[in-house]
Amino acid sequence: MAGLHERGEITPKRINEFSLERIWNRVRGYVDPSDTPEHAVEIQAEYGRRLSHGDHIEIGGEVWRIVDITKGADGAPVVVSNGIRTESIASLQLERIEAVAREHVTPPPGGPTPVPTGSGPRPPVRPPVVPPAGSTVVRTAPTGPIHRVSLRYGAADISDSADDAIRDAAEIELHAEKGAAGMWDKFFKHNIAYEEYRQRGIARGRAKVLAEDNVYAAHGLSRDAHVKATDATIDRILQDEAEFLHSEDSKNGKGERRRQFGDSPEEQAVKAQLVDLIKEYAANPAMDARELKRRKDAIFKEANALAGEAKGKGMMYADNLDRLADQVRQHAAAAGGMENLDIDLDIVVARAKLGARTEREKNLVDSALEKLERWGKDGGVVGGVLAAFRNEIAVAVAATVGIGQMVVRSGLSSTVGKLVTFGGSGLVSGVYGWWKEKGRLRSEQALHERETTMGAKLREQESPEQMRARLADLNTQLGNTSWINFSERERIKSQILAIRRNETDQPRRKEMQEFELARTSARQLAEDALAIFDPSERTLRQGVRLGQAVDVLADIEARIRLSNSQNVDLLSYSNMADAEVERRNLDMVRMQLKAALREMYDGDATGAIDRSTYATFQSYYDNQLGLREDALFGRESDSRKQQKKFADWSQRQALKRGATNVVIGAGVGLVLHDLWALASGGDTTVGSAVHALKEYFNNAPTVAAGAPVIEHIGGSSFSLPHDTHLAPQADGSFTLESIVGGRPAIATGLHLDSSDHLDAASIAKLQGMGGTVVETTGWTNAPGSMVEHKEGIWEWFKHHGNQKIHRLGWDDNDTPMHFSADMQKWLGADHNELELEFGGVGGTGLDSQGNIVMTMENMFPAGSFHDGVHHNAPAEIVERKIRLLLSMSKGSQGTVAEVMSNQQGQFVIDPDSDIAKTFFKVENGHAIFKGFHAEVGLSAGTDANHVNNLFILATHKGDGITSGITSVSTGECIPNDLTQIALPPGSAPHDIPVPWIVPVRRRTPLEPLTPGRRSGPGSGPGPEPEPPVSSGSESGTESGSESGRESSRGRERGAQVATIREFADAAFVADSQELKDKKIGLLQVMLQGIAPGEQRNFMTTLQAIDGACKKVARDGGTVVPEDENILSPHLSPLMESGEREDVILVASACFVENPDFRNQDLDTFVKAIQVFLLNS
Amino acid sequence: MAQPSIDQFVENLLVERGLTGVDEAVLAELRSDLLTRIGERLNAEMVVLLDAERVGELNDLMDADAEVDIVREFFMSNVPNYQDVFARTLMDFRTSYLS
Repeated sequence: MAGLHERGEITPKRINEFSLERIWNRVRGYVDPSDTPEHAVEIQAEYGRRLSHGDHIEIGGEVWRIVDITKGADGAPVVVSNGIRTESIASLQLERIEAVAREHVTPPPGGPTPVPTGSGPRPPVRPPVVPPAGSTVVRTAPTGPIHRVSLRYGAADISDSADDAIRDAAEIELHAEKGAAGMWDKFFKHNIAYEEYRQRGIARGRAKVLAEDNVYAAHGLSRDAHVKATDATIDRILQDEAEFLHSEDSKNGKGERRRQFGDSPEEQAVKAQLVDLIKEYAANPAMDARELKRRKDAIFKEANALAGEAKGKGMMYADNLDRLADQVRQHAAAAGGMENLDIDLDIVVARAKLGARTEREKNLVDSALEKLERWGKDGGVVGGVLAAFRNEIAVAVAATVGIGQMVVRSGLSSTVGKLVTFGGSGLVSGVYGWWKEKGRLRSEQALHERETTMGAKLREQESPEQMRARLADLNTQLGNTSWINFSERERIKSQILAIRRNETDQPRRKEMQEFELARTSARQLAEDALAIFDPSERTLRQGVRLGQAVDVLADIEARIRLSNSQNVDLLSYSNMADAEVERRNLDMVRMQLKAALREMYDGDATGAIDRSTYATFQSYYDNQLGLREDALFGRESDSRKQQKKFADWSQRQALKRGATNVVIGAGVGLVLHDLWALASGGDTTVGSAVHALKEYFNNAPTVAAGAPVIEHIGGSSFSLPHDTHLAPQADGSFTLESIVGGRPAIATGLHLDSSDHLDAASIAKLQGMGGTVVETTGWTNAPGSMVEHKEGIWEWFKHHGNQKIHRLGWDDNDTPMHFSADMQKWLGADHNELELEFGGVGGTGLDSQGNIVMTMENMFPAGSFHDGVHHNAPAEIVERKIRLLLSMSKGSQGTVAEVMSNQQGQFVIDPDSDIAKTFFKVENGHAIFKGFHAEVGLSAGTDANHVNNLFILATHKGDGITSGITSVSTGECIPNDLTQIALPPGSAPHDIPVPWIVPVRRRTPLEPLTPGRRSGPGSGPGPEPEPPVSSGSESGTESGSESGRESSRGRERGAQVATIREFADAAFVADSQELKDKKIGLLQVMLQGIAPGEQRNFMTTLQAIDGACKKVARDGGTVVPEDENILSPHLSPLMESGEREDVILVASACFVENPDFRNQDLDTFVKAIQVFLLNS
Repeated sequence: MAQPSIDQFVENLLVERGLTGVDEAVLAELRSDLLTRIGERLNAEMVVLLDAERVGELNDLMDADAEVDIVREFFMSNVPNYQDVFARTLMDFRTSYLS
């Protein structure tokens, strides 16, 4: 199907042959609506069939849908819509011809004389006003009648899809290097350093995608592929029918959304800006690209902010501004200037999805990673985990440095204090290996699904001849590649190596193939639908029952819906570049078929349809759709079974890897033990190496994390870091030393002053190590002053200081406690409210020094909430807002004794204190709470009456103190100061474990796949896919990156070289050998785009062109219409089928044969091709 | 005894790589680059060990620009043997950097 221009009736060159007047006459004759019957016949003849409402036709490369057609005698023209504007088909043809005419014919002064067309006088055509670059639209007074133009602007945020494409590309790139990987890379690049390489690839890909404004740039596809895909996507979102929007919400993400702008002031402002920009761009197509993008970006940013639920991330978007500007240009020409246009702009903003639907395993992970890398940065310092775990990482550094000095390559360090045996180390290594492997397998399977969904296939088994040809080709390439182009040479070498190793087996891919979901080609589905349904007649084809058609429709819709909602791919596409076009076409067929079936079912007046079960089409269809969805993805479906099969397999594989790690880890550990013992001349019995290693590491300054130690010296108490001791020295000084390992000193030369406080120099020394020293003043009973007597509750509180409290609420996690009479116990508690427990040794409530210990250390951050209010218990411990509230009885529970927690969430109570004696007792080695309630309270502050307001996080119940009055102590009090010394973890020695051994094992990546081939005409615009292209006539793959193309095309290209050389020898006869070789190289590159099945077609074309060029040369180099006619039968099919590579090659052939270019340099040669393409 | 730090680790790597006689400005760039790469590697190694639900929670924490302690607590609760991951990651990094 082609319009006037595309059919060659009006071509740029031929226009030169005609006067403007002759063109106008030709146009008039074509579109004159006064002869409607002929017009209708002509339209019918052009498109080869009768047209009807809903048909799609192509005019000027755009798809238009017929929204009205009258074949009667009333003279109404065919009316079409492209989703943006609605026009008569006649005026569209006219516009295009006018535009072509203006481009190639210089109008006479004053403009051409309009020729009446019968539909009213047309204003004179004037060239559009072209303001200087960078200028803004200048509104001038109309110079003629105002033409109102309705346009529809669509902008779709495709950030998520771009992200997916970038990440896919990074992983594919890593896999594609498999051949070159070698053993070393299998250890590093594809194993321990995989994430690093992957992240680097992502960063590179993102930079490329954004720089080229090409969503497929990271895959090496041209921007044409981007434009093709995004145009199809914009087409979809501009359609009003629901079938075009994939709005089903996915499991982990969001479905597509769109929003049409209304009349709010903000939206109107965006509209005004867009109209200005469109006009300005239309008036000045040479507008600076960066400036255009800058302004577009600014407008999109505003539009996106107003998009509501259709709002996207804003990283990347696609729009149709270019197309609108083209249309405005044509309208302006017809209206006599931009000033005569009144543009009515509709704006539709959407969040759209391109590409495969299978959820990338890493999607959320990558998102979290990006945020994590930004998070915690303080003035440019590295953020993320480094910021959150400064101290722990310092510990790891210490261990790593040690390991690095003594263990060669395969050793890994650990600070797992709990693991002190090699067996334990092996276990940790195994768990880690299992965990990591499982994640990698999931990720690889998702990538495989996404790639094969986009048409990628396992490489076919090659014959020995094909392999030899490919080797020869690669060797030629290697010879032609500059030595300085290392990466290219390495890539070629890797491919040669892969062939020599016969790496065509692709075992990893075959593993993954076992778990592929059954998919149907989107193109095939559309063809199936068209085989039973005639969209032009809106009827089913002969012999097709309505039920059959509904089943086909239900299959299409179920696959689309499930793919979107379940994050799986039940549809496949020819290749990445054509996927969006095929998706749109399938949506189109779906919409047409559904509308037709609905009309047939609901509009049936003949009684032929039995409506006894389903009164309406919708109810019938819903039922069928539900059945189909269940069959495709229900519990018993094959898809689910495949998923289960993969889950089981990946678990087994991961466990296998983990188990091997255990064995190797422990085994290597024992070997290491022997080596260590032999090398050090030490004890060779098992266990001695552990001791030796521990000693080695204990000498390194590492961590001291744990409960503080209280020591009393003179009249002062000292709170010391975990596992440390203040040791008096002979010279009267003190040394802060570790109590583990060899008792290494942490700080020496500490001195106490006369009041048993650290002196200033000692404090400074500790502070210099990053520590803090806090001195507090307290009191204690003087020894021997204790007097016991009985008293009441209030008296007790009076003597001991009391704290009045107010309970603001109970964080019961919205499951309040209630007493079950049946079960005779309290029910409802489930989270943190259960986590106030007795701590100490074995949960007895007593530590090794006899202190009463209650603890809330098992509380977790999300375990305390009520009615939407959440408290993070562990965080509040650090903030020191947590109190243990001890009450004696129900009647006195508003007054409590408060105990502060330490940083570990423990409440440690001196057994000799009055609080311990009053509220606790010890029986059979266990502490027992005697009071009414022991509660964990989170203080929200004390009010003016000194009442502490608290949220209650947990409660421990006791029997209550009702009659007994506890013993109390009164007597002489003496000062008891506490000096708290805290050192950051990492600054004090610690019980460092021996290293555990994780074997670094190689990991084979997935083999690279062959990218999908372009599907040919069927993927092009228009609702009717062409018959499937047989494998023997498949067209070439999308013009893409070298790396993407080489593996799949080398074979074909190798077979072509000789022929091309023959051609080149004849065609480039006047060129130097060097220039000829370069041109041959260029042709070879172009040839990569042509599949084997097309070679005959290509050669036929080439020979015809060759003959035509020779004829042209004989006639003195003048291109005459006859010659063009010789070429056009060969060129036009290529152009129409979109075989751009063929056109490039044909074009290059034409130009190298053309005497004007034959002897030119390479730049001119290339430029000539570009000019030809632009003109095409 | 001075506390070892990630900066010390970076310095050691540079020394082990033999990059001692390099211009100070270049060294500064190298340090910065190494630090960034180590940071990215640590982030990646920690995050990939979270299950899907936890990754969603981490996204939420990041969106809320959570405090350091909250993020620490989150990783400590959800990454088993997180300290081992640090050591192993640094060791891996060192190995691949010096290889």
